[in-house]
Amino acid sequence: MVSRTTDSISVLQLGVVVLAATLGGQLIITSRNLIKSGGEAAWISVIAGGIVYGLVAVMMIKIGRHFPNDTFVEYMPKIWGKFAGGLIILWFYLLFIAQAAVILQGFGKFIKYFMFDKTPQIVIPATMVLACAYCALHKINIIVKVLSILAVLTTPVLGVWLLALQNFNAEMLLPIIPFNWPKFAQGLQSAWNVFAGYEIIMVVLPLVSWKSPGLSPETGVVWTFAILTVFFAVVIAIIIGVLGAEQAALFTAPAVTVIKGVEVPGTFAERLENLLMIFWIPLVFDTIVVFMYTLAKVVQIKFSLQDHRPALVMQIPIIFFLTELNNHLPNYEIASKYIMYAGIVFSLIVIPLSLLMVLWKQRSLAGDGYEQ
Amino acid sequence: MNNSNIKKISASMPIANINSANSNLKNLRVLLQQSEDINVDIHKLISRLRNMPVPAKTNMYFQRSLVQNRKILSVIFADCADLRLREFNLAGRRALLIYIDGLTDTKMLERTILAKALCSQEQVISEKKIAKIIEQILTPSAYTIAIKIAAAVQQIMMGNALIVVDGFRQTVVVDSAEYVKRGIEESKSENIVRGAHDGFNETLRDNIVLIRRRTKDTNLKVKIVDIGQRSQTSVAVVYVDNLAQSDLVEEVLRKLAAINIDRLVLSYNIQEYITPRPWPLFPTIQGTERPDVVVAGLYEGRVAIIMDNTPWALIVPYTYNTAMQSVDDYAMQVPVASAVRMIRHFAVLVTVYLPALYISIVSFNPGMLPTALAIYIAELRARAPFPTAVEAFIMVVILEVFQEAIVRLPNRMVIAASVVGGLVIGTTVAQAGLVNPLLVVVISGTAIASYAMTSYNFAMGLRLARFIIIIIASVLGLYGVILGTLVLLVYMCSLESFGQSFMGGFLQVDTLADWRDSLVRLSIKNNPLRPKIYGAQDETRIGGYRDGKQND
Amino acid sequence: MNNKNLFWFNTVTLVLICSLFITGCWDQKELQDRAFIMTVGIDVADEGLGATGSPPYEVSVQVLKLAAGASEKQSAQEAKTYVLSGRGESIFEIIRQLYSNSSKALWFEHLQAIIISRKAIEKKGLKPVLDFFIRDSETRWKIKLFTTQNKVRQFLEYQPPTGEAGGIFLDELIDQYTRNPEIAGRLLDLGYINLLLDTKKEVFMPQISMQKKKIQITGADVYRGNTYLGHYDEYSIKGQKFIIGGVESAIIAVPYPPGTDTIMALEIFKIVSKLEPHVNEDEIYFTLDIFIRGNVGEKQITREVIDLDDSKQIIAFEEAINNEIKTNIMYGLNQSRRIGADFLQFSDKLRAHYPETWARLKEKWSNIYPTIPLYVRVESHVRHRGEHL
Repeated sequence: MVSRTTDSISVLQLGVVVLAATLGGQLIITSRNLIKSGGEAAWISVIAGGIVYGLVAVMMIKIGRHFPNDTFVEYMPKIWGKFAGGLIILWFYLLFIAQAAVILQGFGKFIKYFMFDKTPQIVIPATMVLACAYCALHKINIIVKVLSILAVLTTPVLGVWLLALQNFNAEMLLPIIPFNWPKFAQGLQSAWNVFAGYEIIMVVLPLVSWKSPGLSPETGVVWTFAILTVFFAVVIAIIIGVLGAEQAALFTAPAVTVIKGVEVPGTFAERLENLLMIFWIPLVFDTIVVFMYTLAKVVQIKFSLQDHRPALVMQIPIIFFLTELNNHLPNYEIASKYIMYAGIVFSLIVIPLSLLMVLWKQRSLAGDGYEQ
Repeated sequence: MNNSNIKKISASMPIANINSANSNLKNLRVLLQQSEDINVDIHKLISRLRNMPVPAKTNMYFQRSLVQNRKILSVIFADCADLRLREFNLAGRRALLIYIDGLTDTKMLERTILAKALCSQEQVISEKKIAKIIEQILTPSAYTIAIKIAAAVQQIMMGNALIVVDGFRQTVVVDSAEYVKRGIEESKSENIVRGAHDGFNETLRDNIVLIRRRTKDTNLKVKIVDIGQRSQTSVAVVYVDNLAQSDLVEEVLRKLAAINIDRLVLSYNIQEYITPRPWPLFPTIQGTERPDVVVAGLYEGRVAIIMDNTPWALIVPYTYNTAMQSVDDYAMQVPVASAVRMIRHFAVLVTVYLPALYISIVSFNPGMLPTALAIYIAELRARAPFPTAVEAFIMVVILEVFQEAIVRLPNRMVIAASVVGGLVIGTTVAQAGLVNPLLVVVISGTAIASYAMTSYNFAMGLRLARFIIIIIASVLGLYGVILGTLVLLVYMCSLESFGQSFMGGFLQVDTLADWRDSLVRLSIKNNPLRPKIYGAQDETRIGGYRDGKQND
Repeated sequence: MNNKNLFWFNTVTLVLICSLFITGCWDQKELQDRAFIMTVGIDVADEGLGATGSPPYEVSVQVLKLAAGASEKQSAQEAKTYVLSGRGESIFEIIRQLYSNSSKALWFEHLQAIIISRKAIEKKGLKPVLDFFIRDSETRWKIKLFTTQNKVRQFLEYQPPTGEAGGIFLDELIDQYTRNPEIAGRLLDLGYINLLLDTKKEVFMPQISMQKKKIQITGADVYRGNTYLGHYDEYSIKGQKFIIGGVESAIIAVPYPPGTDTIMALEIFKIVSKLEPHVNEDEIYFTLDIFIRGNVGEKQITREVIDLDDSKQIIAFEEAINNEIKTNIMYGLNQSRRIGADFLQFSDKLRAHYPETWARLKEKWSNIYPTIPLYVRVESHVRHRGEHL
């Protein structure tokens, strides 16, 4: 049977998982920073970011190909030695758990602000974490089923951003020439936030059954990144085209504000930004689910547990505690900044170096009959 | 009359001693009690001895002597008033015909057994084998030889007649089962417009025939197992050998064999036994009264389970997508069928979400309404005594009570109940201002939507889900609705039976090929593949299978 | 064991969720328990000075009266709304103070219009006045803004003859801009005015006035920051709308034949305009191409004088229209030059297409702007003569 309950996923499903991890809270929460630092050409930064991080993702798969049945938890110590490898795992773990906390905090903030004035903010991340944990408790193939349905159902809703085209003014995107390189570099830096989450590939990859003919994981991931990049670039371009780069940076969530200006006469639900917030919930949900599953899997493999579930249940309070730690606005902003730096270093330095190490080791040991 | 003649009895009697009388009475009571206990014990002993029905494992054989055999049988069938015994002469020996009244075709027995035996009185055959005697004298169309008592008894209980002949250990079981049964009628629960109108009845044999008649495929296999230590109900497992995955068939047979119960009455008993979840909100096994649905399912590589004494066949596995398909979809123009399919999916959403959305928009986020509508609703609700959530909850509960009442009522009362429910409650509740008219519209829309489901059990599941979502919505508003939906979705994906989750291949990236018969329906010509999700061994429907080249 | 784990997790989750129900329903507030604010009027008090040295705000809100149930027919004479007002330094604070006059929570999600007096803008500045409405998530983007020279409260007390609430009347009044080119309306709601304010540009707001107890839109006022720059009359707004678009249908009546006083009108149903900057060495000029399609809408001349069957007449009529539109545009442009407002947003065009030039001229823009020439070319096509010649 196609989906007998085995603990493996297909390449297409890998694409869905990467999509879910990436297309989540990040866009709404971080669009302001991106436009603030990237200026009029922020959308070009996003495209460049998509290419860069897509390449990093392919590198991750290339490393994974040398260790077909291992997650990075197993192969990082093999590449870097026990101590440094352990450090990298810890880095990854802290990065993701902090990222999850930041997304949840941002999510709670926005949902509360836009829709639920009086509800205590703690309730929103709390219920969300529980719902996510319930999903992440299951086997990967069930999680992927949920993600797939959510991806098919909610992604088209993101087309509401296209409605904002009615207020679009292409001149707002100008001038591109002369090209503003420093701004571009800053935008590229912020673009990590938009794509953050794709690193889960390193944990999920061994679960992918590579047997399906035709589609290699590399192609799958490249396609996913292409879709994501186009989508993000279009949304950012629309935001700039409607609000103007300078003005967009003055809103806390320009991605939401841009929808506020949309007027669709005769619709039942009038405030499209609320509608967007509602369909944003599943997107945050699937991101957090993937994060929680990945984190639990890391702990499971690190401590050679039978099952990822005890680890998962254990980390619910941790995530929740970290989320509440971010409650104070300055904390939240500092946390997001340092997470961004940690993530960029991880993606752009650790991964390429690891790949080089693998290739170098392979070459130097090939003569000695070293088999990995 | 002369009074002096009258003598008091008491005069002749000794003066009654109340104490001794009491003690005697006590003794008597004790005796009675003891005798009753003994009676119970004896009965227990008897029933244990009798062990009705005789377990198949017991190796008790018939004796040569007819008298002894008769004695054994009369012990087994003690207190069975519907047992008929008829002694007659067969080829010079005494023979005994045993059958159960009403389960057996007595006319056939008269014609092929008794008449033949009596007409050949003078013929004496000194054969060693009973089969020869039967073949030479009697004319039943089918018979079997039984030497174990247990097997013979079971055959009698199935309606066959047993012939025991003096001097033989072997007995003859004559196929003569015939009993009162319902004819082949239209299915009561699954009505369709175009398509076959025959439905299953309560007889396993007829039901298998209904399936067999639809396909002349020898790969269609029927395995019969008896389930229930006491009732020994026949359950048939039907599948297409070169389509259904063999591990699926094995799993079904293994799960059926593991059923440990004394009787089976409903096919739902089987369903509950073979479903892994003890509290499933949605059915994970399809139930149908329609042979064409079963055949269509079999050719998707699924396995059917048909139980004797019930018209409800079960098909495993079952997914949401299948729950959304109706036979009528396939007998309609393709665009219409696709539209109807989508309406049905929409109805699922309405059934579950409409009241919850109403609550969360009206009392949590009314900013989402267009201004004119918001003012309209606010004016409708200007004097409403209850909060929206309470109002909606009351109406939903009334609706459920009303539906339950209609289902339970005798047909004649239904009209009266409808009038009371529809007119009296619907109109006056709104007029009295207890609930606002818009809510009545919402609730009745919800009810109507739930009637659009093809599966009754699925619709019931949705109705329960609606309550859960309403409760969440009244606490957390739209956020709660979405969160509830996500949890429900995870639940539906994790609700697995026979290796298939309930959401199945619905909107899955790796079974995208199934879109042809999912949200829309393509023409049968344009849909050459079987549903990928059920993993049939042969994936193609059109052009794949030829007589000469079967996928072994 | 696994199932057991799951079971316990489910139970714990269920208990937690149930505990939510006990505490829950924070945001639940029934629709009828909210006081719909339809219009907000902001004015400054005539006398007295606040703590900051400027006169305090006088904020009035127009609250919707809910008709009690559908059964009771509300008489047409009875007012649909009532007005609450208060004074103070902070608009948010005043609104909270108004709660002492209202049994229900004031609710801004269906706010339709904000009317600000010219005096309030001059004393307080536009951005400070609007800040509360922009910061708060309850208010919509599409709230209509008005300014007036009169006292604001009378507009809130106005009962429209249609029987609808005053705010809705104002909202729909301004939506007529698509049919009446003399109403400034497009992209002039709260959200857009805020965007313009963020870039420190001039904004213009439709002006309303009360004439003979009727509300009327009378052109638009232009502000930059706290200062009132001037007033556009209806004719110049019409001219400018040919350029910025947003006209779905407009009527242009011209004397025809030219020079006479008989009138012929064109019903426009399509306007395409293109404003382009040109930089040639040190010379900057703009070109404007306008293409118009329309039908003959009205002709007050007999057929004997002008026979529309003659296509020469049509061409001549188109020529008259072209001239009229040119005149109209130049009128509008001159008016904004006189005020000193870069309403056509020449600066935006220059910034987008010639960023270096813009960087050079940015500082002295207000001096250069009135001298930049605009070359207008109008082309109009008559598509239909009408049902009768």
